[in-house]
Amino acid sequence: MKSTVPVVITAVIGIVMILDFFLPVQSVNNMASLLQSWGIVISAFAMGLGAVNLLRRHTGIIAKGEKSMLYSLLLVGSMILTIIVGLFFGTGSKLYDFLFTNILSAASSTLYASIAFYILSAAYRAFVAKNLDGWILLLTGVVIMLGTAPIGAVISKFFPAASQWIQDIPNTAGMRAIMMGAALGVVSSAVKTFLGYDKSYLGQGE
Amino acid sequence: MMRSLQSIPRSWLYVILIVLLAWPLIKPIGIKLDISDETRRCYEAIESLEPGSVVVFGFDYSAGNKAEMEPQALAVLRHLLRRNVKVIGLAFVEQGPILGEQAFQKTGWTEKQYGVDYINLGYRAGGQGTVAAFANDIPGTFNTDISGKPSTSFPIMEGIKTAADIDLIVTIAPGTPGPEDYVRQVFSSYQTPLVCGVPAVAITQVAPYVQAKQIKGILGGSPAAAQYELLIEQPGDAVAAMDAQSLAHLLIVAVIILRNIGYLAEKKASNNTANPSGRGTHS
Amino acid sequence: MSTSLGVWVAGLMTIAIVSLVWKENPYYRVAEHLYVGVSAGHAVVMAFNNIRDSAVKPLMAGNYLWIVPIVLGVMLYARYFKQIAWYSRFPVSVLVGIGMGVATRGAIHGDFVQQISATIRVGSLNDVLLLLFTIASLSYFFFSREAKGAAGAIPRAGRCVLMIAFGAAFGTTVMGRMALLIGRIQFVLGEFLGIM
Repeated sequence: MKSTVPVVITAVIGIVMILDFFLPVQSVNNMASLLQSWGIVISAFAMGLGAVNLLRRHTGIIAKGEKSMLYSLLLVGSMILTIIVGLFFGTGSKLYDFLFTNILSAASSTLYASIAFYILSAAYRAFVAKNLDGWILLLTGVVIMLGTAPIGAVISKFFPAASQWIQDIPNTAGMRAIMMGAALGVVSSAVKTFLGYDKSYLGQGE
Repeated sequence: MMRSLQSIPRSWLYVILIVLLAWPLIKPIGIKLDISDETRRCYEAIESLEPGSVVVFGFDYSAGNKAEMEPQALAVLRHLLRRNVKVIGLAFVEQGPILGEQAFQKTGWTEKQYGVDYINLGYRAGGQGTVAAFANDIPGTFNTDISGKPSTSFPIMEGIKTAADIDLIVTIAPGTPGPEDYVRQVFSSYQTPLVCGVPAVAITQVAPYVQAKQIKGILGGSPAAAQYELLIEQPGDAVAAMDAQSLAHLLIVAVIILRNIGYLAEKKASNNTANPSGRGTHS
Repeated sequence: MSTSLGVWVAGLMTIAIVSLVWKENPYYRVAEHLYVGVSAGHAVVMAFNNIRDSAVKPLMAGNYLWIVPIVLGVMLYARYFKQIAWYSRFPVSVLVGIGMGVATRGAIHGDFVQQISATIRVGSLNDVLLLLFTIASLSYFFFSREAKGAAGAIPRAGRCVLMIAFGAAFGTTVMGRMALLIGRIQFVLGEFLGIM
């Protein structure tokens, strides 16, 4: 009951989704549409799990009075404030826009942007070509970097042309091979799941 | 000299990077920007739309990628505004609807009539499964707009049922759900033309879809946004960033060359120490 | 320099977050916790709006079938109660079924059949090269039998093609990350400091 029924549910729903694509049968199509719209609601509930986990962890820190409790207070406070503003004033309100633009957006953009520093540092310390593969990788990277920025065309018209060719031909071939391999992987993984050989998504224990 | 160039402290490198990026932003150099065929294909896909066509615009990016994705979104929205088409904005990423609202405001769409010329249908959770649901039933999947009003109560949604009723889909998406999901779930079933804005990192991943003609055109990273700004003759943030982008690439290329020269020199020196006569070394 | 409170908050958040590249410090941790809190709060708000619009409104309008996904959604939270934790397997199985089914059909058609048909459409020298490179790259992933001698040259060539693809990905990654940093510098110099 605890593991067989979920596997059967997964398999039946999965097969309905696949049939929906290949069979123009109205009842199958309607069933697939209904299940997909249920999926939206269940996924939305699932989004709350992350917030609950965060709350459990940080309220625990606050309750124990740990050294980092001030940070946890900030986190919990800002989360609750955002939820209150979002639910009672709406996501279109000025206060919500303030939180979104000046805290979330600013911090998130800067976090992503900071990776540029690490890339520079890594390029300086670690990007060494020790064999043929390394040379191919680095030289291609250099041609792409020069070809995609305007400076490349100023140095030589070779760079944008070579960069475009690399993207269109060898890159497309390599990525396509990976893509086709991944597609076969998805299919085999689905078969394993539908037949009940892979139950890892159900978690541990009966 | 070579030795000191091999041991620049990390903090100096960071300062060099910041100065190199800030300098052309304050004092532009004006490096000439060529327009790629790929960007031109995207431009032409939108240019060929008849007035009154219905375009779905996926604000599928987050604040973290805003610097790279928003200039693309703004340039394309400005072009769409000029083409006098109807735009249905939606998102499969939870930060998308708010960034979409901001993009509509920045591009002047808010001066048009909401619900008639454009609409923001907000966000729906669920990833690829929801993209499939959207393709099969747009008003069912997005049954309300961003403010919670029934989407079918707006004139723009009249006659819109599936992706087959859409003339063009534009998605600005750095990850998943993104171009791949639109190809697999929308194009595969309905052949609705797709134009995708992707970050530079994803250009190589979507290239096979473009070659297979599943995607009509891609805008790749900031350079494509800058080229699009030039095509619509409204230079913005992306054009302003291009000099800095060039210098950043030059800096990375320079440090890679520097590091590899250092490595080759080290290798030669260690070979000489191990075998001073220079004979019989194989690697 | 800006006189807007919002721009100042965004400016200070930017400086606090970027300070991590030098070393971890209390300002960074304050900004980080604020960011995580607001992000999680935003996700909750969007999730709530989704549930309200996609399930509760149709339910209120008399479509009682929508009680099913709501109950399934609530069952996800059973995982926090040991005795009934296994209830959460049911909604997970629905999500996995939808996800796997949709991914499988998309992969078969969009990522496999369509890709093969695009590869074998040969009309120019570049198309021929694309076909050969794709076959070589695919052969590199063929692990069932070791390719020896002359036959081994094909997967070796495939490995080179893959290295070119990874090199291209490396180049575009640099481009993307630099663009994001330029975006932040544009904000600091423009909106925040007003010197641009």
